[in-house]
Amino acid sequence: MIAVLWSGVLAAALAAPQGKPVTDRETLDAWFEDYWKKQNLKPAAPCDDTVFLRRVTLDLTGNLPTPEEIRTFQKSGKKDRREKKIDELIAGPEAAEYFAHLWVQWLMGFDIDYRDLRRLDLGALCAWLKKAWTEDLPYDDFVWAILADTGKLSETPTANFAAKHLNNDEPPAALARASARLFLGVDIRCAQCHDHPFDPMTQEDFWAFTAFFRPLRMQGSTLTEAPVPKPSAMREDLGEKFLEPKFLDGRTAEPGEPRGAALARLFLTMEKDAASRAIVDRMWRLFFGRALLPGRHTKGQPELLDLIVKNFRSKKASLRTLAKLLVTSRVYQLSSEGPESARDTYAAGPIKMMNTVQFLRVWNFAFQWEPYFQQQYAKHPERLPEMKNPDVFWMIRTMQAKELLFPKGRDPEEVLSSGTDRLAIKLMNNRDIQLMMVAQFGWVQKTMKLTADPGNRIEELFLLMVSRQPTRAERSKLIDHLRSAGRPEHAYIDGYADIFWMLFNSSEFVFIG
Amino acid sequence: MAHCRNCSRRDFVRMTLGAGAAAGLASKLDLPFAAAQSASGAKAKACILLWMQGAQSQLDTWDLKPGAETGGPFKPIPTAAKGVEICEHLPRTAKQMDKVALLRTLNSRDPNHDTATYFLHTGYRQNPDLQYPHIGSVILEELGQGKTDLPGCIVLGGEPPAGAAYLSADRGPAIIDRLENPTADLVASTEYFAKGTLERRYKLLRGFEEDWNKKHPDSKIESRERTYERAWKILSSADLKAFEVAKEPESVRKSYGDTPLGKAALLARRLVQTGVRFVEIQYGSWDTHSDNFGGHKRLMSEIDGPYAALLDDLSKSGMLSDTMVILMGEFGRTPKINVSQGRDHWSRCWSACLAGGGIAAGRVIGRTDELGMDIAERPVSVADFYATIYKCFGVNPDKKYMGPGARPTKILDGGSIVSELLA
Repeated sequence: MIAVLWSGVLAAALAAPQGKPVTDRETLDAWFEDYWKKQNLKPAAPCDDTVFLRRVTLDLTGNLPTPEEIRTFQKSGKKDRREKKIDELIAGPEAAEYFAHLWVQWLMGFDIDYRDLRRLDLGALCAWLKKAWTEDLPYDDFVWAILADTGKLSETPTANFAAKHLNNDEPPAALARASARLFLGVDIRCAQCHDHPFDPMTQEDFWAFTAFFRPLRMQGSTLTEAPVPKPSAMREDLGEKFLEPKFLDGRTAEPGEPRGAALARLFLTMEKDAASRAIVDRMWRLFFGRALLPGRHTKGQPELLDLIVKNFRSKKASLRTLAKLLVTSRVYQLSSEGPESARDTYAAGPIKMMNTVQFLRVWNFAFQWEPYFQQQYAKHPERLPEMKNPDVFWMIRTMQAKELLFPKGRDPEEVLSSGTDRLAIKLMNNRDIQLMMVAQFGWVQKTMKLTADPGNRIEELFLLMVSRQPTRAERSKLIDHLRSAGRPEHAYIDGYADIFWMLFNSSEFVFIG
Repeated sequence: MAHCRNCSRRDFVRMTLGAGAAAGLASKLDLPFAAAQSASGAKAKACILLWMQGAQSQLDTWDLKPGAETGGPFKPIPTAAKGVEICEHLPRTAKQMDKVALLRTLNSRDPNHDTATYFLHTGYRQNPDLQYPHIGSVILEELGQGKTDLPGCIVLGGEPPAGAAYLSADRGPAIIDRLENPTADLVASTEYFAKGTLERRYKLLRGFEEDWNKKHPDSKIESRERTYERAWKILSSADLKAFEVAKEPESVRKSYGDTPLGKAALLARRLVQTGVRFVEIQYGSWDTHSDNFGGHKRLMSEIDGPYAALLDDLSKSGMLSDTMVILMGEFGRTPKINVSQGRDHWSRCWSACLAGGGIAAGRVIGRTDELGMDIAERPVSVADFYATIYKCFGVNPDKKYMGPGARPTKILDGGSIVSELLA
């Protein structure tokens, strides 16, 4: 009875006020109130503080909250604790790093290889992206820098985007495709080879759009622009036709307008705020795991998208403000428990598998790899040269993680992965992982040194890995397990290793719920 | 259908089913029996691919030109197949050539490692917008999982260029990238931890997860649970003993050789015996831009024993009748010897060896010119090559899979069966 009353009070406290919405968050919440009413849906209760902290920390920093942070947050009785935490996370260096690493994946198309590490300057690009987040660079300026700038890759880090997708021996179709997909959210690849019966975009349109990128060339590690001699056929099957650059919607550069500036302007001024819609959709997908833009198999939520885009434009296209709006919303903070259909209709909070960047950061945290590698680097800088720039080191690890998370030949943007057999076998049974689990620098040993009480040790491991305390039942079951597990001579460590293994192999660990 | 006079009851059933499924195609092509014959002709049920990574020099291995300016120092030797000669540094293989169809006129006009490796693994040229499945994934999809918990397609010794692509993820190659210790992730728990550790942990995990998973019924979580069930099935499978190569009699191990490749070839045989459809072993690198002859002499000495032992073993046990063994690389090497005594990339003609599973035995197909620069007789394209392999497996190359974006994609685009390759 008390619980029912209490949940009612809590729901009332968190519901949007009856009057006209004032803040942006209230506007967004009001939209959902209305939507739930129209759809005859009953929204789930708000998630509790521990679930919220794990969800928001992973979504804004790609990492897990520490036991210390969890305890402090739980103890804080302040009404505005969630908003304060969001502000703190967004402003912190971890968020800048997380979003920089995400952007590298988005810009590079998820297929960085060793060749790219040699020919590109991903360290410089990461540094630029971190600065962009920290200084809250307006998104329009961000897009402009990436599409218009040319120069030496180390001095003009944004030129790495074009450099990645360019091949001097081929027409710049890959760069055109990547730009349209990333900055407008449209897939134009079919038109590269043929006119599609249901698609208004023709093959000639594709190559006219691609013509914008034609003057770009790589000279050593510098992205340059060179005049294109006429006539130059873009493709043999289009004949000797010289196609003047024409944007996707038919517009062209102004007379005398530089190529890069024209291209950036056309992207940013495409009708219906197409560029803003694409980034708002991307950020929404990041936090909610589903799209707002209509797709091949989904209707999306165009009305909601319009609302958020309008807000985004009015806030100088600030990605940080957008992120804050989304994670402070009521819909983001709903409990994710219940049937899948409730999550599909936003009547419950999201459940997502960790993305590659999150997975890797959490993985490194769980096994304490980075401190280990840093220690090794300090001892023998010549042995791990890639540690010199930690961002580059991360990129190498991300390449490897992608291979484990996604079956080869699958585009992480196109499939929802729940991990491969190979990953499961590795996590369950790989020798190095098994040994690192119980290494001196690992959490099991550290936890055993921290406290002697088995119950406290179990709690510490739970906080580290699944960001919550064990339930009473879990605690007592696991204490029993400690007594029976492993070889008698080191039964104790075997038992804790089992618990640690159980936690990092669990759904609760890899899903953000 | 005269050649089917002796077919078994099971063959008959399969043939009839095949004929039914292929009826639509046959009527379209106006060839009433062609499709039925193709189904009845399928003998191959499993495949071992020995991938000669980096590209072998055809002129120093399978297609020697003694005396020609492009010929190099190696001498040809006679083999168990009448009139067929191969390199002197493959003496044990020579004795097994009566089981092999030697194709000397494969060609692709793609001299780039990455794209050619992809081409020869999928039958398709690389397309930036559409990934095609690995040949092993296609065969697994079409013939189905064998009677084993182990993955149906396994790659040893390296990363394959292609995966499941638009087929379901469990058709994708399980990659065991170390030849030295291929079982690292599979048997670690038995090697390094007390017996029962993994089982104890897995039970603990299942008990722990139940509550959370129940509160969040979700297809993604269920799919992950299935992945874990599969992984556990593999790790706890009695078939895992297929990996215990050391259990083979000493004479067998000796015949394959106590080398990484010898052990991998023996492992491949054991996996196929257990019910794995497709095993690829990657071995190299044959990319000898300098010191071609030193490199090739060494590599030939490394592959000769394992390859010959594999053919001999499969043949003696009767497995060769339905197991195809393919030895090939992504292209050949230039007839012209460069200033570093090396040979560069050559995709205008090169050789591949096929055996078993309905492939002709002791025969050479195709002829290159006197200098080995070009094809003189019977060019075979990659698509032709694939069409022939698929024919042996009873795979209908015209069948379409649904690719991403609802794009129907044929198993193979074009290509004609090379009838001389068939038994």
